[in-house]
Formats: sequence, C-alpha cells, structure tokens
Amino acid sequence: MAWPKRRGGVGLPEPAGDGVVLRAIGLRRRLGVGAAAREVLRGIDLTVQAGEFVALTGPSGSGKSTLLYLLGGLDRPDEGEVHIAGVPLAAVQDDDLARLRNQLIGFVYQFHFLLPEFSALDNVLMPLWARGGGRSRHDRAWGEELLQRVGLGDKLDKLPRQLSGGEQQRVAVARALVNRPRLLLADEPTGNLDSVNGQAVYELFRRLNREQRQTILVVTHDPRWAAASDRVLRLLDGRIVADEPQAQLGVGP
Amino acid sequence: MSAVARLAWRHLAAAPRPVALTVAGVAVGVAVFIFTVAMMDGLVIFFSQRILRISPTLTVLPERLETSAARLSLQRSADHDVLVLSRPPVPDQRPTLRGAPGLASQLAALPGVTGVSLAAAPAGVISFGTVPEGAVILGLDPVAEQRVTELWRLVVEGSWDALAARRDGVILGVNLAERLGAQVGDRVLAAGEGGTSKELEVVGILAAGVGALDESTAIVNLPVAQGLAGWGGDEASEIRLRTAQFTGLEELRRRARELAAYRVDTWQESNRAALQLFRTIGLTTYLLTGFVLVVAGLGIGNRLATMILDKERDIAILRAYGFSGWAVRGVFVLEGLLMGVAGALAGCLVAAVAIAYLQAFPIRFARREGAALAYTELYLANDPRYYLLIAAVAVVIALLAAALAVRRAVRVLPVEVLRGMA
Repeated sequence: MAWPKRRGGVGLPEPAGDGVVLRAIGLRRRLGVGAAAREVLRGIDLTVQAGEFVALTGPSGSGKSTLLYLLGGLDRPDEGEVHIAGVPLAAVQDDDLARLRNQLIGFVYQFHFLLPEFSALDNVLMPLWARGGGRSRHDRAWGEELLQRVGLGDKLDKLPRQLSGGEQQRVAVARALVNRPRLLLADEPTGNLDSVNGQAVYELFRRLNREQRQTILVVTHDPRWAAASDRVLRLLDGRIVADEPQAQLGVGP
Repeated sequence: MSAVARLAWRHLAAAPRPVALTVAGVAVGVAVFIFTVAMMDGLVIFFSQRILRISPTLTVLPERLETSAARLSLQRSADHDVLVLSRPPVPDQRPTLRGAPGLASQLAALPGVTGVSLAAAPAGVISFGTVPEGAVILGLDPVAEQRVTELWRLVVEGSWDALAARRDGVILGVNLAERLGAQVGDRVLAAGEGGTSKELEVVGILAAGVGALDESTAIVNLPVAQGLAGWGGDEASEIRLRTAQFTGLEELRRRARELAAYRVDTWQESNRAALQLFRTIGLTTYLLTGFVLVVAGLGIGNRLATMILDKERDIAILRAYGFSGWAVRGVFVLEGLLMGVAGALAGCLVAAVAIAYLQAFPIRFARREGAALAYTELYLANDPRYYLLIAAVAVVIALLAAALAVRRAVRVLPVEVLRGMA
C-alpha cells in the first residue's frame, strides 16, 4: 500500500503548506517551584522545514526533553510561541490541542508506553480511535501495513507483554506514524533498547525520512542519529549553542 | 464498539477480581434494598388485609357534615392560616345517628355496597361477681355484621351464632374476660351510663389481636346496647358498610355522605394511626437501607479512583495521542456505569429469586389462634416497579460516584506523567 495522502484537521486552523513544519520563537520554560525552580529553557528559536531530519543533542539536564514537549504541544511555554504547520499553539484550547497533536504530530518516547490490555495492532490504531476511526477495513489494513514495515507483520495480535523491548518500541513507532503526521518527534527512541533493536529503529527512521520525506526531530545521545540527520542542534543549559547542517559536521548519511 | 467503550471494557476485563467485588457490592445493596421494600410493603399489605377483616370499609359516624366541615377547617387553620368563624361549631350533644335503620337501608341500596350493619357502642361497666371492669358495650346485629366484618371468625371459645340465638348473650374480649375471670356460660352484669343494667350470659370469647377489642369490648345484641345507653331503637353510634372494593372509595364515600348527611370515614382513615406507623417505619427502613446503596456507590468510586491512579500513564498517553478530556472522562464514567448496571441487574436477580423462594415457602411465625392482626408469616410484596426504581437509583449513584472519581483523570497532565517516566 502506498503512503496515503495526509488528511486535514477538523475544527482547527488549516495547517499551512509553505514548507515550514515547525517554528519556535523565544521559548522559555521554568520548572519546579520555590527555591527548586530553575529556568530550563532560556530563549529557543528554531525552524524545521518539511522533510528535514533534525537531531537534538546535548548533555543530560540541558532541556532537550522539555523542548520536545513544548514543540509537541504537550506543555506550554512560559514565554514564546510554537507554530506547527503554521498553527500557533498558544491560541488552541486544551482539547483542540489534543486534536491537533493527533492530526499533525507523531510521538515516540524513550519508553514505549503501549497500552497493556490491547494488541499491537490496536495500539497502533489508537490515535485513529481518538478521532473516531480505526475500525474500517482500510484503517486496519493501514495499521497492519505499518506493523509489517517495522517488521512485526506476524505479531499483530500479540499483547505488549508478549513482545520484546525492541518490538514494543517498533510498535510505538508504527503508532506514531498511523495518522501520517506532518512532524515526527522522538525522545531518545533507542535509549532503552539493546544495540540490535536500536539499530532496527534507527534504520526505520532513516528510511521514513528518505523514502517518505517524513519530517523528524529526534532527541538523542546516539551518534548514529546525528549521522543520519540533516541538521544537528546542540543544546546546553537551555540554549541552542550549535545549529549545524550535517555537511558541516563532516559526517555523511 | 467505540474507542471509549473498548477502552472501558478492556480496563474492566483486565481486573476481573476487584471489578467483580465492586459489582457484588452494588448487587448486595440493590438486593437488600429491594428485599426491604418488598418486606415493608408486604407488611403494610398484610396488615391492611387483616385490618379489613375486622373493620368496615366505610363507616358513617354521628357527626353532621356542617360540624365535620367546621372541624376540618379548624384543623387546617391550625396548620396554615387564620380562620375567622362567625359562629363556632356546636357538637351534637347526643352522639348518635338518628333514624339509623332507615338510613342503613338506603345505604345498602348504593351500588358497590355489599353489607350494612348498625352498631351502638356506649361506654359501660361489666361486672362478674365482685369484679367490675370498664368496657365498651358494642351492640351489633350478629347476622348483618357477618356481611360487614369477619369478627365472627375470631371467636375462640363459644360461638358467634350463640349471640344471634340468645338475646341476652355477650361475647367478651379475651383480655376483658381474663380480668373478670369469666368464662363461657358465666353470667355477668352489664351497666350503662344511665344506670340501667342487664344480666347477660357469656356465649363467646373473642381474640382479635387488636387492643381495643380484646381489652375492653363486650359484644352484645344491638337492642341490648341501645337499652343500656338509654337510646331509642332508631339510634346507633355508627353504620358500618362493606364494599366490593377496598380502594378507590372516594366516589362511594361522596354518595354515602350526600345520602346520609353525616361524616363518612374510609377504613384507611379509621386506621390512620396504624397505617401511618407502617409508613413511618417503612420510610426509616428505606433511608437506612438506602445507605447500603450509597456505600456500594462509594465502592464504585473507590474502584475507579484506584483504576485512574493505576492508569495515569495510559491516560497521559491517550491525551498525548489526541483523546479529549471528555473522551477520557467517558472511559471511566462508562466503567462506572457498566459496574453499576451489572450490579443492579445482579441485585435484581438475587432479590427476585429470594422473594420468589420466600413467597413459595414463607417463613411462618408462632401465632395466637384466631388473632386477626398477628403477623403470622413473612409476607413479601413483589412489584416490578421496585426493581426498576431501585436499579435506576443504583445506576444513578454509580454514575455520580464515577463522575466524582473521573475528575482526577482529567487533571492528569500528560507532560507531568511522561516527564516522570523519562
């Protein structure tokens, strides 16, 4: 099955098709309260074009995950703006924001976060369920195809506990892709995997970007991700200290 | 099945034991409530039937309608407002119905009336040897009375027929006879208020299970009571009517009042105190039993609260993937609803089986032979409305409990949970 055309949102501003998928302007975020409060992000400006593969790197505590949650509309900045496909997230109410995430963004977390009572296929179809779909033969075929693409075509009906860690993470990747997102965000997607499974997920992302022109922003410590990306952003103490195209790093994909 | 329904169902299916316990809690609450209502309504029905054995369904009393109306107005004004009277009601000095036999004949002709009897009930004294006892001397026509009440069935020694056969016969209430030390065949002296007295032979002992009848009533022939009271032969203290129907008596009462121009009470009014007592006991019991349902509802709330706590991570991921707050609420409210409905159905089933069994094989209590009002068996009423109403209440309580519990679910912020897991 070919990678189908993306569907537009319902009740949300129509995403712009100008090639800029993600724009962040002056993002600041404080976490903690009282004496423990600290500024995790200190003014982030960022633009990601359609089809780009961006790696976000930096030491622990530099604010990578916090930035990813802001970019994905899971959290709101104290200052600054995030635009996804031209839609300003600040103007969107919580439930609409959930819908926007559903329609425009796919997430892959360090942990798979699969729902334990549901099969691999049902987990993949979950984002479609959220928008009232996922039951048609077409949707199920699409979910099955995604699982086949991540190498789990023979494990559609397995429960998460019947899958290995790598397989669970691949199911999570398939789930992130089921709504054909404009933007795929991943937070150390191989952080909990052994090298073999990590390699499989890495290959999958690379293929998605190259073959489907999937826009990807991945938080990683893994040098292979940097090698696969078009750009590497380096974060330090809440600021982007380096934003370099792959070529300047001297590591070809 | 919608996504919300699927999620709810899978959550419940994944924790069968705690869910079963919660459902069982609701089922017990519902079953106990239904059983209690069946028992209390059964008690009222049981005693109503027994009261109807010894009470006329309509009673014409010696109170002129204008007096009756004024008394009612006074009662109402005492409750609510001020009443201005141009002339205070004057009660009858002589509390008898005049022309009672003729009136009784006219009342007997009313459609729906199946029996009429006259009663004269003056106060008096019954003496046996040197023992005097105050008594209500209830004069009746024994034959006519048999078509109005079943007092004749409650004679435990001697016979009712002997009263009809002997003009000087008397049937004593069982406790009155005990205090007098009189037995069937003894001769007692009855004295009226006016000083008239008459020697009577005890022809029967009555055990009705009703205080007033057993403690202080001496049933004699109507002319004897009239003579002791110094009344004329056309005077009576009440006209007792039996009707084909026991409920919906308003129309017949209206016609009887128009005809007689006297106050007419239904059997419910005559026994208001006893019936009110049952209602009060019933209401108290329902309130207490209702708490069982509330506790069952709390069980559902508790189960859902635990489930929501367990599922915080799943809720976060659902929210992250686009499920709205309402959809997440819907999942847990539906779980509460499913547990409530399952518990209500199970409770209805348990109650239905228990009630059917106890109706087929009733628990019988020890009884005093012939006592009209003795509660001789656990009598259970069975009405589909109990089941519908109580099941609906249980489901509403379950929904309320769920609605309270799910507030936590929508307070789960995906980023907080995901950050904590990272």
